[in-house]
Amino acid sequence: MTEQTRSALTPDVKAMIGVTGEVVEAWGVVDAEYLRRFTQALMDPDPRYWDEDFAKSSRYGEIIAPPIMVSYMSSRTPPYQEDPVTKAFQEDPMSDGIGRVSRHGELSPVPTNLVRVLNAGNELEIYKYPSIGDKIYFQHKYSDIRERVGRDGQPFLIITRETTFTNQKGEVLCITRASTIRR
Amino acid sequence: MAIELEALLKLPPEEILVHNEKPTAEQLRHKQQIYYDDVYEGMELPKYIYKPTPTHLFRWSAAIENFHRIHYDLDFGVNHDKNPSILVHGSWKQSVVPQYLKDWSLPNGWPWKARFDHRAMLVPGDILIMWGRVTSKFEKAGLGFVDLDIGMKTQDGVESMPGNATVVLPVRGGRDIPYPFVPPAD
Amino acid sequence: MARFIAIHNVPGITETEFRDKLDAVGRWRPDRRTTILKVYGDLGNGRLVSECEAVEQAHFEDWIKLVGWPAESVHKVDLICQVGNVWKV
Repeated sequence: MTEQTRSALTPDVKAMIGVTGEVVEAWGVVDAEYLRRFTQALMDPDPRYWDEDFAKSSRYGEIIAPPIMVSYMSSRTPPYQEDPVTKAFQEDPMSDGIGRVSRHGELSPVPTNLVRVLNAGNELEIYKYPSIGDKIYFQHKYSDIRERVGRDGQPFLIITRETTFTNQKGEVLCITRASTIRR
Repeated sequence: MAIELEALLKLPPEEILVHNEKPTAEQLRHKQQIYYDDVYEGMELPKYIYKPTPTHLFRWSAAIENFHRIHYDLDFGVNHDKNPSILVHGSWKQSVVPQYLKDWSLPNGWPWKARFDHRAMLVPGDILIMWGRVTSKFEKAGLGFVDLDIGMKTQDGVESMPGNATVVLPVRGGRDIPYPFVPPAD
Repeated sequence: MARFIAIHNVPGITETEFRDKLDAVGRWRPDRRTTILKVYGDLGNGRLVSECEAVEQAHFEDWIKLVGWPAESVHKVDLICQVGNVWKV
């Protein structure tokens, strides 16, 4: 970096590394209907998801669900929340359909004036299949923030948000990481 | 015998579809275990081939309650976001990954982890090929760890999801893979 | 990105020929940034109107050469109304 380009990894940005949100309970439970709709939309016909007798004979001893399925439960709108779709279009008739919905457990934004956001990759670690009836809990964390220099000589940040999904027994089901570039 | 990925990509698009190795429910029910001992560097995994339509995209949006218009509203996607059409979800692609790894490792292996990037806009009409290839393997604490390159290519050979993964396979005559999975200590 | 339309004169074009030129993604999406969004056909009179989103007109003209449908005129589009939605493009 030249004298003219300052580091984007300021002390305030660095201080966000490790910041962890509250543990949030996702609305609802892992249920057979969501499992059916999800696995059909995914086009995974595995009988471990729907054939009880077969699933009991498997090493898992019960119907299982794809762990990544629970990651989408974190963005469900609870019934007590104002309808986000209607709100999005009231605020902006040209809304993209998802608007600016604030969700429980979201982390404070990283304090940077680099506004352009690009996807920088995803990770998934799987430890246990969710069971029917599981309550799902999730917690976000900024697991890493690092700086790189682009071909234009300008610094940019790679911010990794890690989310841990657990069930009511505290068992870790899966961990996801989403990295974004801010430049 | 399964066709290699490079050869598959040379075929006309409609012929690619004929080589879909995505297992049926019955095939998954009777899936035979692949052991750590049986895999080798360069080995290709079965190729799953998809040709998503707007209805597939709508079904996925509904299943995960994703109301982003770029996936179902052609007018908005093309005229507001300047996309080439409605777009295949990154979330769907990344949900195929653990399914793909699970299927390969069934019945007693474990689809431990994966890392991937999202590249290229995919649209209805594209033919998508989920692929994997063994890059290395190692044994640790009596378990077989297999590293893979993975991805999802289009009919034109464009890589839309370059990535890698690690699957845990049982060693023949060895111990069961623990469930829930606990990776061996470093 | 910009939007263009072209009016083509292709006397004698058949439905089979029309379909053959457009029936695969690679034919209406010749590269990752050029998309032929729509083609209207008045096959009886050999007249076509095509609509393209591209970085620049030259990329649309490349597709016009590739498809072999000579364009009488190419226009840059500023405003669209589609099913009641008005878009500045």
